[in-house]
Amino acid sequence: MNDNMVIDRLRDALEARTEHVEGRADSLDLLLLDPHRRPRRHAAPASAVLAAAAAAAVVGVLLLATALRGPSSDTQPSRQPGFGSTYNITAGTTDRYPAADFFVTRQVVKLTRSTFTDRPVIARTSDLKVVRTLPLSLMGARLTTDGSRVFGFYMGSAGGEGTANSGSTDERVRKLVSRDTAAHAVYYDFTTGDIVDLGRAAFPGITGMTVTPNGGTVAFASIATGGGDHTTIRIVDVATGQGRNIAVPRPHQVMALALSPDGKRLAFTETESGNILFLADLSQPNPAATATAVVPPSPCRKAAYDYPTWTDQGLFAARECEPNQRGMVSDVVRLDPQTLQPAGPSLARLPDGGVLTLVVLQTPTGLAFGYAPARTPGRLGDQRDQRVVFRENELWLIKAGASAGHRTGLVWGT
Amino acid sequence: MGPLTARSARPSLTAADAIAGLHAQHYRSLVRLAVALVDQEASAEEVVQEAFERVLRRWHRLRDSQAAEAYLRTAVVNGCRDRLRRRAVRRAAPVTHLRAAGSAEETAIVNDEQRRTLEALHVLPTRQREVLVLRYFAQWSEAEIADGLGISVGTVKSTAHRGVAALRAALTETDEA
Repeated sequence: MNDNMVIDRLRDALEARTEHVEGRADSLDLLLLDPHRRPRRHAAPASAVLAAAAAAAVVGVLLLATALRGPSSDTQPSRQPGFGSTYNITAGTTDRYPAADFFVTRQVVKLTRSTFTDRPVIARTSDLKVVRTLPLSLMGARLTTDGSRVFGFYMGSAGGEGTANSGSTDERVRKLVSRDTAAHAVYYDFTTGDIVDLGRAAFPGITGMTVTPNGGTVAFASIATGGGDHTTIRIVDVATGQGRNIAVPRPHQVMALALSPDGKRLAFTETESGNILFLADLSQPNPAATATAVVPPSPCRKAAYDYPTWTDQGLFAARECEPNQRGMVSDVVRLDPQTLQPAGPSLARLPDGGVLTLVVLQTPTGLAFGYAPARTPGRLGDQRDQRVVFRENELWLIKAGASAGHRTGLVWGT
Repeated sequence: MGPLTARSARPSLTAADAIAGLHAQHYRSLVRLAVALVDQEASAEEVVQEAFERVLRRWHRLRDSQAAEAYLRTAVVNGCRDRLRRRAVRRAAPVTHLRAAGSAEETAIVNDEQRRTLEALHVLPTRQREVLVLRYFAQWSEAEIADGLGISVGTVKSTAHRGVAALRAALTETDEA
């Protein structure tokens, strides 16, 4: 029996099993008559419910780097508590404001809901201080190295409800969001207070975004549905607003992108066919045509690259490799930016099940990698769209939950 | 353009209208999906009903119709997983044993080969069963499964691969027996 025969047989059995399933005709009436009744299955003791809610909201961010265990602690033991050890950030996201309940376990810090009224914020957790307020909620948020601008994207609502920004009391934001229903890439400048539009996505939205550390160049990917989903990556020069599109060589979803710090090259992965990593030289007239593409080399039987991340230290990516039937090994590798081949040994092991984000951190004693494991007991949408950003020796968790209102919350973590 | 897509263009639609649209479009396929996952009609209907209740209660927090649909689907898969877990704990027995105790009504429609295939499916680890059902029966894309189960696309692929291999091994064994 080959794989297709097994799959056909499975499909046939499940079709037969469910063919006559109709469900209850009155289920919608029941629902609408009494929408706020407690689901029967949730009649657990309140404490158990609370515990479950707390467990469901755990977002773990671990810093890995064996080199960090050691002398660094005698020099600055108290100022950098996150280094060289497991660092947990627990984020409560059960309410409309995902950033409303942050607990940083090692520092026993709690931000209460009253800290956040109706605007996304950047907060410093060690003293509960709101550092900055953002006028609009952004997904895929990134900060520039100097902290002067935050880049991200929002979904338009064309005057309707349903996006995090549609209830905004800020006239500018309302106007912006009601223009159309497409996603727009923007940046917010903390100094001038300007929200600057960097371009509109092909419908329905933006699937990934990257910005150079100085905020000079932005790239974002969007999928146009219909006619065979087709991905376009738009590269925008932030100073001039000039943009150009590059068509992705294969009609696949691009989720993870990384611009080189000089903005001259772009690494990206596609997620449909097997997480092939592409490298496009943006100085070429048609970067897509000259893009290099690689899959991880042997000994992996099956393998994938994801989360390319590009810093002054080089190009890195998460690599998922299945060396044999027994299982998957995920790790971080440095890649040669010309050939995309691994340069050197595996740098850090990642958890089975993959990660949702990967960042390279330059710490006083060397490189460290921050990630959020994919297999966290979270709720739908809550784990989406997180970025961990390292800026001037501070760890930031940038969170924009999708289902829970996707407020942008930036938590300053050391 | 279904009722879902219309929602973003017509902000005056209420949550109830939108839920009715979702319900009309997806209720039966979601119940079928839940039956495929938990193998019991009554549990499946409850799981789907609860998923709709959750969507209704958090309607204002969902970004758009696509988010609502995605939330609904994931709520069904998670609900099925919880149901199986509770069932396993309550009976202190592997879920697969329930199959034999299933009512005649539930098993009558499938032939012997199909019954053995379903039994083999329900012996698999939860994650493998979920990925196989979602990929090959419900026809979700790998990206949708990754999203819904909170795992990477690479893991979806490898889990599907292992699941098919395990299913083949189980079927080869029972076919020969």
